[in-house]
Amino acid sequence: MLFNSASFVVFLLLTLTVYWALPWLRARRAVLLLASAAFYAFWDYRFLALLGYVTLTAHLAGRAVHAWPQHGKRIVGLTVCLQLGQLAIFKYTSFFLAAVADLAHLAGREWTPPELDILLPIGVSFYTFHGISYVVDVYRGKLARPLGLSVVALYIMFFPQLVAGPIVRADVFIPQTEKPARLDARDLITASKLIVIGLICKGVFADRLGPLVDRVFAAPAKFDNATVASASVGFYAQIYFDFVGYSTMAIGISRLFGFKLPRNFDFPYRAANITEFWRRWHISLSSWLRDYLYIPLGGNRQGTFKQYRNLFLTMLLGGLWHGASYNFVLWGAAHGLALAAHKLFRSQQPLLFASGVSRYAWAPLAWLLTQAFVLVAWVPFRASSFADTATVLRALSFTRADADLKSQPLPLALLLIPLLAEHLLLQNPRLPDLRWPRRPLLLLALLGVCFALALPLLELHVQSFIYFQF
Amino acid sequence: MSGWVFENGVVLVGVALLLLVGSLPAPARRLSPLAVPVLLVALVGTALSFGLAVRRTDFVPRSGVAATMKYGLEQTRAARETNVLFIDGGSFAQRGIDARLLAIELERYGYSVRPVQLALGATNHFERYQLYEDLLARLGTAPHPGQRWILMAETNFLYDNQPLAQFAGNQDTIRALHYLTPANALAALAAQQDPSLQPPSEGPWRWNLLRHVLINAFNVGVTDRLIALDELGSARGSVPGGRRRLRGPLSMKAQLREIKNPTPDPKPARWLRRQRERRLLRLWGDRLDELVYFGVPSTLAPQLKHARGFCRATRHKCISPDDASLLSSLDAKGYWVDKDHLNRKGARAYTVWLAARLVELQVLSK
Repeated sequence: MLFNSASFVVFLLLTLTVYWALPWLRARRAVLLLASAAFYAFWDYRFLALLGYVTLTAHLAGRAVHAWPQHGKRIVGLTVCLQLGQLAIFKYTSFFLAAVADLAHLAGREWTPPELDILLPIGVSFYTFHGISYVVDVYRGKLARPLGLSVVALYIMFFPQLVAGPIVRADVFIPQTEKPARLDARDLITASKLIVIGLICKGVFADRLGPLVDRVFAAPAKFDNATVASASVGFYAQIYFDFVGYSTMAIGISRLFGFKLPRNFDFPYRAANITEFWRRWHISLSSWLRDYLYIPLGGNRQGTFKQYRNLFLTMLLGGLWHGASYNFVLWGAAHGLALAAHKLFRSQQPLLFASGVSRYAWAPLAWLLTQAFVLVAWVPFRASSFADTATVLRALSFTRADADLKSQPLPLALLLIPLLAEHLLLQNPRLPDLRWPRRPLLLLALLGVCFALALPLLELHVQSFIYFQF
Repeated sequence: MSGWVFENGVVLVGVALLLLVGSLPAPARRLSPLAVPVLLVALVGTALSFGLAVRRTDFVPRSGVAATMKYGLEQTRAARETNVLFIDGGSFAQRGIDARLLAIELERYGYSVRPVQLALGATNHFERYQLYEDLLARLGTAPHPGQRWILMAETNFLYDNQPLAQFAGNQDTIRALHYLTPANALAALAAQQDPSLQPPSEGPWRWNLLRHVLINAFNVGVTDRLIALDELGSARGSVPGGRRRLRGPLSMKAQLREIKNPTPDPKPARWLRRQRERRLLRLWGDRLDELVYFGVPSTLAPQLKHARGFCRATRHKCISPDDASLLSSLDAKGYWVDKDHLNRKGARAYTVWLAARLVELQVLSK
């Protein structure tokens, strides 16, 4: 049930109607829980048990930490192992077995791993992180008292963010479940705005690019360098619009239920260095990795070398979190190295960033370098194999002989205009505010019109969100 | 408009909407009880107005059904003959009637006729209804003075007994989305509830129907689905024939026996008269001078019995294929593409026979 599908619209309208018709907090919570379970069951009801396992483990661990604070660290350790254990089984078993086989091959021994038909539960990486986040936050004292199972379950299962985030912190979400939600004009207008914006990003931009990009990445060796390069730029735009579209809609839908979720993207392609990029891209994941992985690893407290090591390890594991494949590991490693390199560069060239003139002179080049790196790094993320990654990278360097290959470059306007417009013109504080009337009813009517006018522009065949596979 | 301009135009409109929505303020005020209704009314009102506006333009779905509609439009506009014969039907009629031969045959009898072959494979009655609605909306005018419009509506055991036949196979296609307007979908749902359907309709697609209606009513993906009528190729009308797919023996003996010693025929489902016929007559209105039913032969016995039963029950003129001479003349593999569909040779034999029946029934004007 995708956010941009007719079935979801009906599901959402029904849930909203029942939710707001009930005056009692507990009843509303129950409605949301039931709706979330139904939403998840729609994908595959069998995995509700897994979702239940993650929820129950987190809840019991939270209670245990409150009951025996002296054993908190051990309880947290055990819970993290249990949570990551199920993630490892469902997501990484085949990958690890294949890796062992590869290692055996390198050592000169042949071993064929057993073929396991393990289905990947949708959203497992996201709700596992929610489960871990809850227990660690209890241990860190961010949640002062033991919470009921329904509250914990709603935190982990809340359907707008269940399958692809944003990964919300327990101390941000849970307090909102404990007070009666109210909706004012700002909430409704903001929610509607976010839903329309998300829908346009996903349905008009990302879904239009998707088939074009897929066709080239399905067999990059068949296309000439210009086509492969345009497809790479296409994916650079597609993944942004796809994920920002999903996140924006998730935040908008949550707002309709009275929940305020933090933003997940802050115009990442405006970033002029890789550190800034990670402050703007998938903010909920990057901050989660920082708080629950990078800092526990030691962060920047144990010297420069260890800081770089921690950065690299964090991003490597972040890459692996995305998917069980060497390509994601490569993508994570590239970003880890880039972050470490940026820290090193910054420490070596402090003047470049400090003084006004050189800073402005450097800025365009820095932006170009950063975005070129991000674009190139998306290649292993999108390519199906190492071989395809190498083909695309060679094509991007324009050193590959391509005279006899197919030429079908993607339309340039389709690639760049939405990206430029969205990044330069949307929420740009340097631009003057348009003087819209501030009457809520008028604004809502206008939003209704815009919503209706956006629908004809959507791609007819709804495509799944890229991040659903993680 | 070229595809490239159109594609980029869609993206540019998307950008404009994105920036417009992004620029709207969100003032912190109390929520008026009218807020949600206002939002919904604006949304639904705009969607409906947009849909109506699109239907008034010359954009049509990118589908074979629209190409057939275009062919019908061209033929009807060009018709100066005394009789215009609109042929309704599915694949039986599409393959079984050679429209050009029909005109020649009828001319031999002294009738000036323009057959407009609108029969198209895999179209159920609701899809055909939409085709005629699109056609008539564009034709607008009544027949030329003195011209007689006759609708030859097919009776077929599959489409008459399964109101939404072919929907399951065509789901989520441009053609399925187009014909499932709220009115058509409601009519289809009502037809599916008909208790006289034999066998009873399974009706497993209620949710899918609603989904199609929602997508259609809110114009989702219309920019992808539509094409300017000028840019759409026209169907070529009747194309009888096709590669032979017939395997195993073929015999009309059972049908001939049935003609000789008839067993009771099934009664036609009630929805055919209450709904299909009523809607067709209402849609065509004064423009239609005569509604004539006809059945196309098949080697499968149910079609013969169904057509015969239907023809007995209807108050309109009806041409049933339960004719021993016709079926005997088709009793060889050389007349069939498969067990259901006639080939070119079979279509010739059936068309000649059909012309004679039309003359007999006196539905045409001289």
